[in-house]
Amino acid sequence: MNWINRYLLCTAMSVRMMAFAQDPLNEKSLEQAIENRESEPDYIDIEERLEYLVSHPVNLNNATPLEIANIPGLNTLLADALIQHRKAYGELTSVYELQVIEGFDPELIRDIHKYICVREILKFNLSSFSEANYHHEWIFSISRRLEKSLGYRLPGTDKNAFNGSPYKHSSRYRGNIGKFNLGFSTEKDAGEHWRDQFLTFYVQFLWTGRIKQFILGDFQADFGQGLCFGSGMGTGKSSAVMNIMKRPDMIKPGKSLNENALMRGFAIKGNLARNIHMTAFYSFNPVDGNIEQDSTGSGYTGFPTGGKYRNSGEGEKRNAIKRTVLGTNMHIDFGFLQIGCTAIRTLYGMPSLKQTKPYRLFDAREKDIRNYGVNYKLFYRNFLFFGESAINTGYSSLSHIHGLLASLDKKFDLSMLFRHYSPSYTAVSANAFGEASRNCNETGFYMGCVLTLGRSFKLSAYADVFHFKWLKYQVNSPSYGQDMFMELQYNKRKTYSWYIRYSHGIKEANEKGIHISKRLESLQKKQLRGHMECIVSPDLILKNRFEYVWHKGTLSSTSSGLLMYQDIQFRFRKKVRLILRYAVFDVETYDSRIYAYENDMTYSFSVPLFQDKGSRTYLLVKYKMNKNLHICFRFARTSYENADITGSGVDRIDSNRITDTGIQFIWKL
Amino acid sequence: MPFVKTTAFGISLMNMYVKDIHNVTFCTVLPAGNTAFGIKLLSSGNGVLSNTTIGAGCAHRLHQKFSFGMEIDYHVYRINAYGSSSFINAGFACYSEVSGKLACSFHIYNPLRTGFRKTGEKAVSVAKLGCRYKINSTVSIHTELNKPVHTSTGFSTGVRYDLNRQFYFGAGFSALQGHFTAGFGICKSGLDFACASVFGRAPGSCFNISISYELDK
Repeated sequence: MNWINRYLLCTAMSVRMMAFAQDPLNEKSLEQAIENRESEPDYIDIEERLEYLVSHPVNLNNATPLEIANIPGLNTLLADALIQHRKAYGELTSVYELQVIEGFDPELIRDIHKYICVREILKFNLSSFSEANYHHEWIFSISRRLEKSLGYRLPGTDKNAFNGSPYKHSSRYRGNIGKFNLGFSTEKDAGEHWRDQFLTFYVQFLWTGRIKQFILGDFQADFGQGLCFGSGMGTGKSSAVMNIMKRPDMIKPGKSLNENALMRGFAIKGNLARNIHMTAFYSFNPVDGNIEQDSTGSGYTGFPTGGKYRNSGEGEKRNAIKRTVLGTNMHIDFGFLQIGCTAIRTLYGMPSLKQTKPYRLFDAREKDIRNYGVNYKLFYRNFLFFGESAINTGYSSLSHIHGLLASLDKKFDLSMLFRHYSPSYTAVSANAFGEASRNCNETGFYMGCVLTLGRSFKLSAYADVFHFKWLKYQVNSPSYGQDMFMELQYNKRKTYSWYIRYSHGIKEANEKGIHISKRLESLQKKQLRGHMECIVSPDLILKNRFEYVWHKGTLSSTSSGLLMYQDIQFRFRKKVRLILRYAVFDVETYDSRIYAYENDMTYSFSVPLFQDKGSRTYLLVKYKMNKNLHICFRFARTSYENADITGSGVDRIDSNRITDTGIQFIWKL
Repeated sequence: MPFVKTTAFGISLMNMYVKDIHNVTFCTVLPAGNTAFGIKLLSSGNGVLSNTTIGAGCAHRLHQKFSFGMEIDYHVYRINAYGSSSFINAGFACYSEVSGKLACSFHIYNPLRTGFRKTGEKAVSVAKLGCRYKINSTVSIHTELNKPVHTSTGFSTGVRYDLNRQFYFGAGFSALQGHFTAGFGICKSGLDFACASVFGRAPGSCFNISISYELDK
């Protein structure tokens, strides 16, 4: 099975907490996705994407090959087999008819049934408030760190002193009444004053006519491969080695609690003709920015992404820059071929300050940035080609991404991707595949494959080679890097599984230390992980992990990191679920840091970073009080052996322990 | 070589990053029963530094699934400022069709570590272990472990996909050099034409064209 899709499926299972046993693939993918990113991903976005797929099931009887290949769990080979079956025998009468098509087994059909249908979903009727289209959910969470950091202890007159309490709380409401959806969220971070909490809201209408979707309020959008415009987590290198292609173009309500990820205004999606689809949006919302002044006047120098406004210094950056974004996307769908174009215009309230640092030479300085892109997807036999080319106003900024997904055999999937992002390419919300967090100054080639060996073994691997043709932050010359990843997985009838993973990455960066001329050194990171999971009974699951990281520079010293943990997951009378972990770690430096997924409260994810020497314990209790009310409690403590102080700056804690607690209430109707 | 049933010729041309540097290889295989003889000519370099190699080899099929071969090469290196130097070295290889899907091979080159006559500088010795796994009639995976004496072990892997009897595609990755290769080939009436491009660390890209022809096919 295609690993992109398996990744999404597994994530869906986890996010919705429908199954007691969490598939380790989900955790693996998340962990590695975070390791490979320069910033923390937006977890709520993952959930939104899956919700979108569930709420827009694909009708197998009129879906194009491209739409079928996009269904989580299916690959190009299966899509082709389904199309051939439809041509030979006509429309499917039931999703269970898929069993007669080669490659579709009952397990696969069970996995994909949420995303497919064989007839049009009945149009909503306001007079019939059936259970299916009437849904309300309210979530309230409160958490705090028991140890107070320096920011709380500073006198109120200090500009670094935190303005608010150490409690973090968030609430979230979502209501669906057929084609009408409404939602709002609030979030106050620890240390923030309640007046500074983040608010988001949306109203969404869904129709089946010429206008399909209208969103008022906060929203997100994805077009093409995200080179021109994309939001959320996107695609990237992970253990889901086939996850390199973006999902279909879409707009979605903004439920994210990431302050800088949302557009605020309206978005509309509709059909100009049967196979011509169009989306347009207008957004006006200020964004956080660092404002500075020089002889030419004031301007911004960057966009902080922390989203925390705990003291006056952090608060100054909040909503500092006015931003207006207009965009439109149109695509024509011929079934086997989809061609689209995107145009985005971004207007800032002030220009960017001229940068004196060489690595920022190509940064856009205009207040008005325009991006134009063309994207395509082509389905041919068992091959799926996709790509996007984009340009922004200014000098040579033409950038490309082109990829291929191929199911060469039932047992063998192959993915390839080439990208070239010009150093001068600037897009406000680009989110295409890449090594760096910004889609600029990068040329690379990626190849991944999945080989199924027998019924129980699966081998996945990828390799990626990339150049940065211009300088980067802390890299004072053009540089080079490569990543390799290999994983062998074993599954025995869902009762016992293990995987062994080895990865090796090389990157170049400035030599550390004080030197008159900065030289580049090649940094190598090797990682070995063994993970085992045993489902002793439906109510008891045990997990073990061993991970070793080795980091070395050609000019700097070697460091290593080690992590081991034991998980026990226990369920009592289907009402109480208990998850307990004990982990020990010994990580010498930040370069050899280790990440490990942790179960957290519903709609929350946690993938903490392990550094220094110590142990970590967490306990999560989930209690289903009744059909409507769920309660969740979490306690996590990290103890460091050789440190009396943890954290730095205003986050410094004068203790060798960090203790986090939280409680959550979920009310569903 | 012992699995080649008719006389065959091959030529490979490679552009080595800079247009002045060339790499041309010509080889021929002459089968005789379970044994095959081969000759190769290799020329690479430019006006400043060049290498010419003449080699001869033979391979014998010891068993339906196992064969053994050896080669002897004569190398001449020429550097304009210093003149030329030459040496002779040898290589041994074995190849086994373990099953219809899996084939393995082992090759050791210059095991005696011979060197240049003038300077006594030793030529590189390399050991290679390779295998090919056929997933089905159209898809095969090839891997190779490569251990030169003085450097770390390299790993290369690639996949070949036969679109039909005439066309095939290939792609591979070499970990030690950190480069990708992607290309395609056309087979028609004994003629096999293939070309590939390299994407990797070295500046510019490298382009490789090879042509082979089997008689009586």
